Amino acid sequence: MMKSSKIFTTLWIALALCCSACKDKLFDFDLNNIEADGEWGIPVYNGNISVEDLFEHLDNTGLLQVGSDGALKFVIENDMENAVVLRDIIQFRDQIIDTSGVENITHLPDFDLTQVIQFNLNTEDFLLKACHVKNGMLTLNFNLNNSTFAYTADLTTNQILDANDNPVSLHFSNSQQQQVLNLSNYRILPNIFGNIQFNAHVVIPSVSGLDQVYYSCHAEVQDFKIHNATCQFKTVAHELSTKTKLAFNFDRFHLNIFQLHNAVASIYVRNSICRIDGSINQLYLSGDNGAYSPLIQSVINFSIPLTPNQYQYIVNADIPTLDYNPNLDSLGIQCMLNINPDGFSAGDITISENSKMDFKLKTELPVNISIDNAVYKDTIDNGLYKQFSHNVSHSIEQLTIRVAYTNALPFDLIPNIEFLNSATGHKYPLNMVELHGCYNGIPYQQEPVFHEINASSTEEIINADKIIVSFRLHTQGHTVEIKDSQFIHLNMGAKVKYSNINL
Amino acid sequence: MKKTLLFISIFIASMALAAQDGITLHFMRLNPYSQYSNPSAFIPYTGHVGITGISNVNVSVQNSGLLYKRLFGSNSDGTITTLKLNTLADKMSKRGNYLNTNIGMNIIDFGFRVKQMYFSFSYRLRSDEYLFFNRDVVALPVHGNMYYAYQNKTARPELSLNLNIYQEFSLGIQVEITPQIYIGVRPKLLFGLAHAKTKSAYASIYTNPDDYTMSINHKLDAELSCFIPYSINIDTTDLSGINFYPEDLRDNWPNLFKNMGAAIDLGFTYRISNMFGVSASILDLGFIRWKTNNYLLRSSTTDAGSYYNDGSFMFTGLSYDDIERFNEDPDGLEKELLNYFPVDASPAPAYTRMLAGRFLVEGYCNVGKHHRFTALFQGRIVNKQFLPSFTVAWSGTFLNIFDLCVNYTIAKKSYGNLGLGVGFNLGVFHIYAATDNIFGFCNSKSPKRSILNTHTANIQAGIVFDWGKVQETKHGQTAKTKKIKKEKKTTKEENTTPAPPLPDRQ
Repeated sequence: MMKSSKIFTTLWIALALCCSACKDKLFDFDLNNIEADGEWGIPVYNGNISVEDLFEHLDNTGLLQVGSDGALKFVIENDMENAVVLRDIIQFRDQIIDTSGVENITHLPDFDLTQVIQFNLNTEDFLLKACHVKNGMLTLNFNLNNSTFAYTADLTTNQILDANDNPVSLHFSNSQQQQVLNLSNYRILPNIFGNIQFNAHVVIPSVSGLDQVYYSCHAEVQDFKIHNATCQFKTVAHELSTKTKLAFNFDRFHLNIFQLHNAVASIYVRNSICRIDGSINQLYLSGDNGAYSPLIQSVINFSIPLTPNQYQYIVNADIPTLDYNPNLDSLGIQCMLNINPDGFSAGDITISENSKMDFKLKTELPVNISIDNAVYKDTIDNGLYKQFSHNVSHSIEQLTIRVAYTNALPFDLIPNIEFLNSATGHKYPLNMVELHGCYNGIPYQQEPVFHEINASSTEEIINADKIIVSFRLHTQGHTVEIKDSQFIHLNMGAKVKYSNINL
Repeated sequence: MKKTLLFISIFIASMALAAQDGITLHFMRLNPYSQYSNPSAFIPYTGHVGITGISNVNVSVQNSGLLYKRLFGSNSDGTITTLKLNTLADKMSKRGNYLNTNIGMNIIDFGFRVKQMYFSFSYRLRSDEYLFFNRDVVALPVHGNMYYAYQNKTARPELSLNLNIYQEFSLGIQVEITPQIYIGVRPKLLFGLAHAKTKSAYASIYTNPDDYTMSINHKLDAELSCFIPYSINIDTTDLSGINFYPEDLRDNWPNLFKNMGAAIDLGFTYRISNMFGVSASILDLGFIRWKTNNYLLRSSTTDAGSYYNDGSFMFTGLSYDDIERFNEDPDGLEKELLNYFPVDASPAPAYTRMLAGRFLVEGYCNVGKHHRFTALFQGRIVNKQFLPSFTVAWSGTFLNIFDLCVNYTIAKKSYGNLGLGVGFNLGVFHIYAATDNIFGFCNSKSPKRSILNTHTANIQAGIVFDWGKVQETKHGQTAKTKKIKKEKKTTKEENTTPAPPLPDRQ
């Protein structure tokens, strides 16, 4: 029993000790340090920056296009719908005609009067052969012997036909001396002399012994317009000019001289009037401040046939060298047109109310360039900014940025990256190597360059809110043709080495 | 930041609670539950009855790598100031790290003796979980991918999980064939409650040391089953879409008995002499057929675009187009990249899975009437991993009422386990407690933390009623001679007082 009681006592004491020792806290945290040494490396970017990607920053309005041969070009199109509208050039004037006459009467009670009135719609520049009237008002006044007796008179003409091809007949009497005819949709077929002539059939029922009558007729043609017409007209001279903003974006490009080669300005026309001859008198770049640079040295003549349905190429103006600078921000053209250059000798011409000429100036500026120290500059937000607390960024021992290039662009590139802290204005530069251009068709391959950045510099990078990326471009005096197959391949990775993180 | 770290730390530390499926109770010869580790073990009573919920509760956690002291550093007053991720990653074994939790509780149990046989019945709830992980699971996020790249090695974090929660109805029969040979058998009827098992769960990441390009492929192949209705809605942007509906259990209570299975425990003891003996047992040899709410969870690297190359996600860096798209829609690019790692959860047909079986082999030596020295080897195979352990134990029974055991166990990645078991049998009232690693409780500075610093921590305790002390037949003694001896002894006892204590099991 003694033994067992001793054992009991010992065990109780041991149990009590265990329990009393359980007073401490299991997780009393004041964590201020994390021991973790390691290094993570990730590939950041691997891809081509095509030359198109680079140059599209010049372009705000989608001017950059790739030709069928892959060549990049800025295509500036200036469409002038209704550049010439014939109805604005050939217009009918209102007409007022008065005639009167004395006719001997041989037969009563009815008799005919011929050519009581005649008129035409011609001018010295325009001969109407036939037309379908769109609108117009013909007002006729007819009076016989001042209406001193009762009579009726029907004035008819074969030169004005209604929609059913019936000649016009207008009824007058001593009490109805005026008739107004709406000519809409009537056809007018002037006689061989170009005139529209009315005859009259007169009935005098109750007067006897009358051997002579006196008549007067007054005609007015107003607001006359045609649907279409067959006509002859003199040559019409017309000046055409237009100006287009080039809208290049130079926010990111800084150019001294940007010389474009082998540009071409082409004229395309859709013409439903008649043959037109013309000339490009001026093709030029201009700016708001009076800057002016002609692109052609002499007048370029051209002839425009009838092309009523679609645009047709008419003429090119070759521009061997275009010294472009941002002050010259408009492309202008001034043309002189001779509509129907053969005049009356051209014979009958069919025109319509819709006869017009649409004009398109398409200027293609191939990116055949020579560049002298142009700078492409872009500022982007730093994705790392404020992503890491000061403690975490402070625990980074070293940041390594690996950069490898393959330059298949036909110009030298000197890239430069700066990390900008906007608050302090401090910049941390990341100096890059110069990349030689691909002038002989063989891409220039740059061995990987490792930029090892120490802890304090890494912190500067992380705390920078902006990254300024710039490329200095230089063609070494070459004129280079830029094609969409040209690129710069960039392979970039980053490696972060970290150690204890003090919280 | 601090809150996140705190959460991660507590999570890892809570995983570090540790011990194994308790072995100390096995050596406590007065305890009727010692038969759970060997059905042929002699039960020295006429009968026993357990109290629901408290007769036998076992909580064991075994942890090979995630120790509190490796994870946290503290200042002089014990406040945790440092998270030691380097130590954690470096001290961890390259592979075979594991976290095992084993929980058991008796709901109903009783037993009775019929001559040389002891019958026992029990209804237990059991949970057995193994999570294996290799060092890369921790080392990759801590040391980074370049740690592997410089060695031209592939980082391959890998996890393996095997979880079984089930109800166990067992009928144990222990038979004394001869005084030298005892056998025991315990057939079990099982009803599964939950199961999770991964066939594959890994990611393989190779980083080129020159340009940091990464080749990643992964595979997840897991099966889930649970008696509680649940749904899995997983897409690439929502990996936490598992919702349980316990309220639906009222209508689905038959689920409790739908995942039927069977298992058996076998035991054999051979007493070479009164002094020496050997025994062996095989436990939990069986299976469960899982039928309720089965899901297959699958994921593998998929061709979802230009970054797919020959079965892998080959990340060489973002392209110009990617960056443009990222600027327009930052979330869109993330979703696109996650499409390479799609997760698919689909209902699965019934399947049968084996339990994590276990075997024990031991030899013992009795010294005097009270002391026994035992050497025991046990092992189990889980998810193709063999987990062996070796134990030497001293156990003593005193006054026929007091059970004491001290043992030392060496297990995989766990070398300092000193076990202690104590039991008192006061009449029919039997109270006991045992642990396989007393060091887990006896750090003088911080006992609680010392639990978290051990590879093995467990506690098995309870109160049981047992009665009718029965002696084990002596070696060479037949049942008949035993009866005669007992009658003689009774006569002698009537003439001499006080009676000497009963010898314990020999």
